[in-house]
Parts: sequence; structure tokens; C-alpha cells
Amino acid sequence: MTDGDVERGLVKTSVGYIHYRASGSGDPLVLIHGQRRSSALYRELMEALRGDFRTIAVDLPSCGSSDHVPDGLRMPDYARIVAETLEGIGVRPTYVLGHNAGGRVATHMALTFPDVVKKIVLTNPAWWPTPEFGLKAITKPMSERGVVHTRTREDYLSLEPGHCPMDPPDSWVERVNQAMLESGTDSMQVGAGSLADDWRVTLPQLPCPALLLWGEHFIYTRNSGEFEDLLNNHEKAVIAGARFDPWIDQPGAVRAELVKFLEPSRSSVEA
Amino acid sequence: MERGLIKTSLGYMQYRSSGSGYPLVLLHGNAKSSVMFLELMEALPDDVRAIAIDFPSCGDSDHVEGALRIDDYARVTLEMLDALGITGATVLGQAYAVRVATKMALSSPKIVEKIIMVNCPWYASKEAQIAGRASRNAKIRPTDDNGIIFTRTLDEYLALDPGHAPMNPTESYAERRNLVSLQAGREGLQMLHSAEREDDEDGLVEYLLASMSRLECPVMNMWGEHFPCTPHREDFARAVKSEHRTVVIEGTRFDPWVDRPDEVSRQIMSFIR
Repeated sequence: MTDGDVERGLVKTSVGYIHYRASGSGDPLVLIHGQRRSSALYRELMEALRGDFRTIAVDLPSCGSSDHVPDGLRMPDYARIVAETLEGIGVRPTYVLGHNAGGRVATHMALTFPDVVKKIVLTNPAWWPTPEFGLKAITKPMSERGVVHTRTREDYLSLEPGHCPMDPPDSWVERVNQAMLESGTDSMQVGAGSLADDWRVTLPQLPCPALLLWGEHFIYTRNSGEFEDLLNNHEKAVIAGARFDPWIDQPGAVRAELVKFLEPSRSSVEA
Repeated sequence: MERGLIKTSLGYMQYRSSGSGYPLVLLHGNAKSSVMFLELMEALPDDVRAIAIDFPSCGDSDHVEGALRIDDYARVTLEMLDALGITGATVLGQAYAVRVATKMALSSPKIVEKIIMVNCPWYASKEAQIAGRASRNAKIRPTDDNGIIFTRTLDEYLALDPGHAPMNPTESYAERRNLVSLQAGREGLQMLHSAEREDDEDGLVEYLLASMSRLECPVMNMWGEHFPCTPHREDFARAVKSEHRTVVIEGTRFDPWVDRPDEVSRQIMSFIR
């Protein structure tokens, strides 16, 4: 999939312009990225789901091609801004997938719009035993002004394998580096919102079914039990041979799990 | 600041816009983007509608693989202006975008009413041009194996490639330079190569001069005092046969509006009014 296969747009919201990518047709599936990432990291997933869903990947404020905002946004704010963006393009967020910290935004969308959001998917949620652990997890080497240092593929795999696919292509490295610089001096904003959020409070209130989708080799997958205990209505799937962005390593397997759980009205896959 | 994405024949292209009134189109050079014009857009008066465009493969515009020609840059920029309802404008081109502005004026003289040429890469002889090419890529814009221009610290920009930096750049400038390099990605030298291809086809330095000599609109040549090509500005200006003026912005170098935004704005306004 090249840039030319993806529709793009900028929507003016209460916090400035928000950028999105959209692809395919069918029931809407909104894709929300995590800290210092962008919609560009969903390219493989959007390609895999083209025949099943209308995917809309949103760049959160201060990320990707969206406008930068001052510090202070919390997860309910991100959920509201995503909803504003979708309203601007006439999309109802029937299904919402949130990756890592983006799962918190997806959860708040379900809490805020229970009549609209029918199911959510949490892929490799950021799950920390303590806030101190979380702060360490979201803090990366950065400049004095807070711009995270870019890395080579080898650096990512040796220094931070837990946040890499098993076999990242060069284009993944390039997109991650670009997303780091796009978040720029605001690289800690989404992380700060995550630290102020508590899954123990939000997940038990979730009004819709959730799919927990783990990469087999993601660092928190082996300790996922306590996380899952917070959910009253969920399914779980582990993508074998995958780690942080499961759709980079195993797009077909991720697609099969999403179609099975979300049951889109026009999918060609046998559920 | 207003932003928008317009679908062109080379994919989605982004623009940033400020002010309202007479249109001033701002075109960036190789592997840059509209964010390098932020200081200028802030300094311009509100009654100028400044429109800075991200060229294909740059900034927030879609990437285009393979080779492009300067004609392509000119065509899609005119598509953008058409979509924005602009029927007459002054076009400012920096560095390699001088060629884009020139092409636009030659193909659409009714739309391009005046041109501002800022720090056009310019060699006084074929020999100097060839030597410049040989040393440039290795020293000034080293890339990784995928062709991606390396990021640098502010100090490195000033030490390794001062000719393409302002005199007193800020950390924000260095951060934007790094961002636009990664945004251009594997197409980091695409625009530069498009200019070189046209030169090779048409006889190196003569090509640019021949194009400029056919311009009929008024031209302002703007040079940063310390830009490496500025000493040859009179030779460059002789190629322009239409009404033209040359201004040197003292105390500046590659992006004159980073060092002296108000003076650049003043010079622009005196030319377009």
C-alpha cells in the first residue's frame, strides 16, 4: 500500500487540526495509536482490512500530522477530540481499536459514547504494575527540550525490543523515527495522559465487549491475567510470532481475529 | 494558521495559510517543507494571504516514488492554486524552488504576477557546478543506506553545513530541519535530482539562465548576505530581462526570515505593493 491508496484529511477541532488516514469500505473501525506514534504505523493493518472495514486512523494531538497542543490533555480529552474528528468527517465509531496507550482512548470512547461504540479492541495495552514503573516505561532518551532521539533498526532491536515487531522492515524504523520527531517537544504528552489514567477504574465500567489482542512476544503478554480480570465481557487472542505491532509481523492473523470478533457486515472472511 | 490537504495529480498535498488578501505563495527547497516558513508567515502583514505548500514527498504531502521533473512541481503547485481559487499571485521560491516558480511563470503568466527568488543555488561556470555536485552529497547531505538524510544537532548544522543554515538558528529550527529530513525520507534528494536532470539535459548553468531570460513578470532576487552564492548575484541578475531588483538581507544566510523576519517582510511588501 502506498500513500496513493489512502485517503487523508485534516479536520478542524476545538484543539486545532487533526489529521486522519482512511481506507477500505464497510463498517467503521477507528484506529488509535499510542505514545509518539502516528496513523502511519497502521499502514499494514489498513491494507489487510481493506475488504472488511472502513478504517480511519487518527493522529492524536501533537502526533503525526496533527497540530500541536499545550500539555495537559487527559484520556477523556483525547477521546472527545477523536470523536470531534470523526463527527467532522461523518463517521460513527462503531468499532474502535486502540494500540498500547491508544487503548485507553478507545476505552474512554466506549465509556463516553456507549450508544455508538459497539465493541473495542485493545492491542498490547500499556499495563504497568505501579506508576513508577509506568513513568520509567514511557521515558526515553531525549534532548533537553524533550525530543526523543531517533535510532537505527539495530538500536531499536537491541535497546528496546519490547516495542518492536519481531522483524521490523526498514520502513517501520523510518515511520517510528518520523513519528518521534513529529511529536517533537511534546513527546511526553500521551504518556502523561496515560499515567493519569487507571485501567482499574475504567475497565470494570466498560459497557461493550472488548477483544484483548496480544502479541505473543510482547513484554506484558505473559502477565496479562490481572489485566483481563478487570474486564467483565471480553475475548482474548494471542498472535503467534508477533510482538509490539502485531500487524507488521502477522497481518493475516490479526485480520482473522478482528473479523471473528467484530463480525463486520461485509467481510469476505469465514468467521 | 489554516491548514489543508488537496488531492492533486501527485497525491495529497498540504498547504499552510495565514492572513487574507493578496496571495503570496511560498515554495520551499529540497527536502524541506512549509514549516520552514513559519517565521516569515508570522512577520507578514495580515492583509497578505501567505500560502506555503509542501511539495510531493515533503512535509505532510504524500510521497511519490521515482523521479520527478521541475515541471511536475510546477504543475501540481498550479493545481493547488487552482483548487484554492487563486487567479493571480506573487510566488516566492527558495533555493531549488526558484526553478519551480520560474516554470510556473513561463507556463501560467497570468497566474504568476511576480516572482521572488531567494538564495538560488547558482554556479558561475560549468566547472564550478560539476565540482559542487561532487562534494555536496557526501559532505553536506550524508544519507544512510536507504537514502535518508541524517538528523543533526543545532551545533552540527552550523559546523558541518553552515551555508544552508541561518546565522543564529534556534533549537526549534534544528528540530524542524530534522523533521523535514525524515518526512522526505527515501525521497530526500528527489527535488535536487530533478533540478540536476534538467541541467544535464539542457547544458548545466545555461538552462536556468535561459529559463529566467524568458520571464516577462517583475522579479526580485533576494539573497542572504552570507549565503555562499550571494557574491555572484550580479551575474545571476543579468539573466533576468524583465523588470527586476536585487536585495541583500544583511546579517542573514540561507533562510533570511529566520534571522530577520521583519526586514524580509518589509522587502517583500515593498516589491509586491
